Amino acid sequence: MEKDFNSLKALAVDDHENTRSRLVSSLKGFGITVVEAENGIEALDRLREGGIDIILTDIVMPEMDGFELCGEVRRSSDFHSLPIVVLSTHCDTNYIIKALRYGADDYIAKPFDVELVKKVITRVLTPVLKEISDG
Amino acid sequence: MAEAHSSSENMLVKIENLDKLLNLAGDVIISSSNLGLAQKNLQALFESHKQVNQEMVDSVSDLATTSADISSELHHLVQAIRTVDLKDLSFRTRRIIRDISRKTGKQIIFDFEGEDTSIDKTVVEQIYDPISHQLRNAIDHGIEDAITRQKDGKSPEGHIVLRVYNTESETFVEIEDDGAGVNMEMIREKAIALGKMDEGDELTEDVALDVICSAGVSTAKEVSEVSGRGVGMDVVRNHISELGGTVSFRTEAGKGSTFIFRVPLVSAVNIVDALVVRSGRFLFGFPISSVISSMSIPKEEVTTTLSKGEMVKHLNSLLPLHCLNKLLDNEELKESECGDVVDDDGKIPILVIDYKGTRIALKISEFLSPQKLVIIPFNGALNVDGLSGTTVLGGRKLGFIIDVTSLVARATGKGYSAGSQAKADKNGKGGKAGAGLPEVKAEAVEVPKAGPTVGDEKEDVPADNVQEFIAEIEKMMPQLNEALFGLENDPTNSEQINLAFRLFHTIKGNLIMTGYAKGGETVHSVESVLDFARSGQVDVSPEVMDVLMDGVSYVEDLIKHSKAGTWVDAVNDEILVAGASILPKKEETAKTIVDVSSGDIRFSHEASYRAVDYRKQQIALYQCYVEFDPGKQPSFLVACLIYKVVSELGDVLGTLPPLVDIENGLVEGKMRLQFASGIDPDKLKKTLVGHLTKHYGVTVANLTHFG
Repeated sequence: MEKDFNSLKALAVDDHENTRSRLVSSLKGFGITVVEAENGIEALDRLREGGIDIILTDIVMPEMDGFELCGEVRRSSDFHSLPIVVLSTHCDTNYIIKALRYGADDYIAKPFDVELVKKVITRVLTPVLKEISDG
Repeated sequence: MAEAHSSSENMLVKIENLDKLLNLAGDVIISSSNLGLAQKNLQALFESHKQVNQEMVDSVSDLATTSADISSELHHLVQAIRTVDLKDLSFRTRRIIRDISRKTGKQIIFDFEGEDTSIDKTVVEQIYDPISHQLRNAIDHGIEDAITRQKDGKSPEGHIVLRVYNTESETFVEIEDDGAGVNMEMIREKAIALGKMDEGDELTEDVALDVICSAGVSTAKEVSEVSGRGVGMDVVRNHISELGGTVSFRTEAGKGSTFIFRVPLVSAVNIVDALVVRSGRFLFGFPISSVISSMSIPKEEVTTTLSKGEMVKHLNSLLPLHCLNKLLDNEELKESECGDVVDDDGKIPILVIDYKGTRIALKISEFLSPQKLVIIPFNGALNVDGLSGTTVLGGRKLGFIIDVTSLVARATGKGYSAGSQAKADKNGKGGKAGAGLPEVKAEAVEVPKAGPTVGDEKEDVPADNVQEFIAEIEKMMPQLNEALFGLENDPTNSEQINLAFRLFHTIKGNLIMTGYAKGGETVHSVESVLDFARSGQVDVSPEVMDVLMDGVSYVEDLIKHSKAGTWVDAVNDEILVAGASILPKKEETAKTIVDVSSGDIRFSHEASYRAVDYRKQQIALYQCYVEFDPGKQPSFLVACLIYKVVSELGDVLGTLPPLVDIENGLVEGKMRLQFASGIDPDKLKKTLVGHLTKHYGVTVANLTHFG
């Protein structure tokens, strides 16, 4: 089942305006509505405002980094099950594994490939368990 | 100063100044609408054949005053907007001192006076190379080694002061050291040897400076790594004279030397006060500062000598007389040949100009009024020796602005001046930035001797974007510098470590985005050092500081060369090696990938108890073999994600390669998983295989029962 991107609202988190705006324009290109945040703390504020379907976040940020954000989201009562995609220039195995352990669902290397972003968003929003129950 | 700037350059502007600019724009609009009103009133008077009354005159003269005020305010504001303080320069020079001090082993106490001085941004960039060169000279040739210093009753550390300040019309840069002073006796001998003075003459400062600046002459007894091989001071002087400035020095044996650069304050929008003259059918603006006198002389007063051609008497000396149009010797300009133009009284209009003491007289056709002119620089396509640009005069007529330096050089037959030569270099493609100053780690740039390769290897990143990312990096540099110098004073300050880490990380990201992969790699190694410092695995030792500072220098070089279009992406081996030597050695792990198809999957003790339990409860056990194409993601990541998908449908008991290997990157496009699941077997098979194929690049998937 293809997700209808037009009904989606994504949270794009990156302290860097330039890179964030690239991500935002890619997402908007898919028809996704985008909310932005500069760091983990701001991201949590945006999440509390509601309506977010997916989080795409950088790792290295001031105030609260991407790892902590993943942890906070997974521990929260309201949005613990939201898909989280991590984007980073760090392509070290340690970093990626750490992100997954903190609760990230997927990882994309920066500079990102637009098609990969689309593919990853589609798959993190399509849990296999749901496919089973939908038959 | 008539130099074209690349349009992609950026600078930070205070909001306050932009607001002022907006207000002024408002004033311009008001005064232009008032002007329209005055014009209408005048028209009405004219049409009704009435006299212009005093009121009318007053209102127009008010308008003129207001508009003059606005123009002048606007000019000053734009000038102010272009100025920056010298914080960045201060950081960069402190790093140079640190670097040379490390290389020469000389301890230096460095003071930068005048961090708050505001200077035009372009000038700050231009004076950096001469300053850095002179600092190297001062430490290398000026400051003595610690033992000599102590013998002479000085402190073991050398002192260097860099002082930058503005006067009404000039920026002064003074570089003062308390070293041995310039050996004037040696300079004297060299001056005589070079034929610059006679045995009995007294050595003047000018001659001394000439000797110091002579290419190939070094005052150092031994050539050293730091300040090169005797070239340098001439480059410094050329650089400063290109800015319209001068170099001078004072020295005292045993006490030290001070080198002084004086650079005229530049006007932001290249406005000159000029005397406008007509020569033939062309109009020319001479910068007022170069005009000594304008006169009209009877034809008979022009004397002709055999060797020197026409001469004319001015004050007490005879000056060579040239025809301006002939001197410019331009195809276009030649049309109006230079006859002896005489004015109404039968006299020849003559203009006397001066460049650094050299005077020449010029025959022109007519003197017009002095006025403020805006220089529109030639953009490289057209480069006329003797002219610095064009301008629009009243009545929308085009005029040329005279470049006095090169015009006088032409007249005196000295060929191109240093200034115009450097200009030509800049306009030529492939000119190396910095006019070939030999230091500042040019190696990294020159490794692949391929010449400038702008855009070659980064086709997918548009040039505009490259400059955008580079500009963003540039914006981070002051913060990075501040963090590093903060860290040097307080090596355990975790806030600074984190900040520096984040900045290097972002810079790396931007470099990778820009297509500078090698640049990214180099910065990555600096970032790694900070990453270990962050986690406390590495102390911020002087060696660590060296790597960090070298990292900043590397990035600064990259910015500079990228902007000039001369960056060749290359790693800096020194940084990589130094960085690697600081990092704690990684434990050597087995680097072989296990054979997925034939090997046995080993369960952990815990998993084997669970497997027994599942059998007891008649829950099916499966083995899933997959081959996958990870596409643009790392193989180990996709393997982990497949693991996660399977574990949503059941309990994964074990994998091959083992999960710990996968997490260490030891997996390549295929894996085997054993798991227990209570889901209907047909449904499970269909969904799992379909899902993995569709979303995770799985090309082969075999699901079988086991156990």
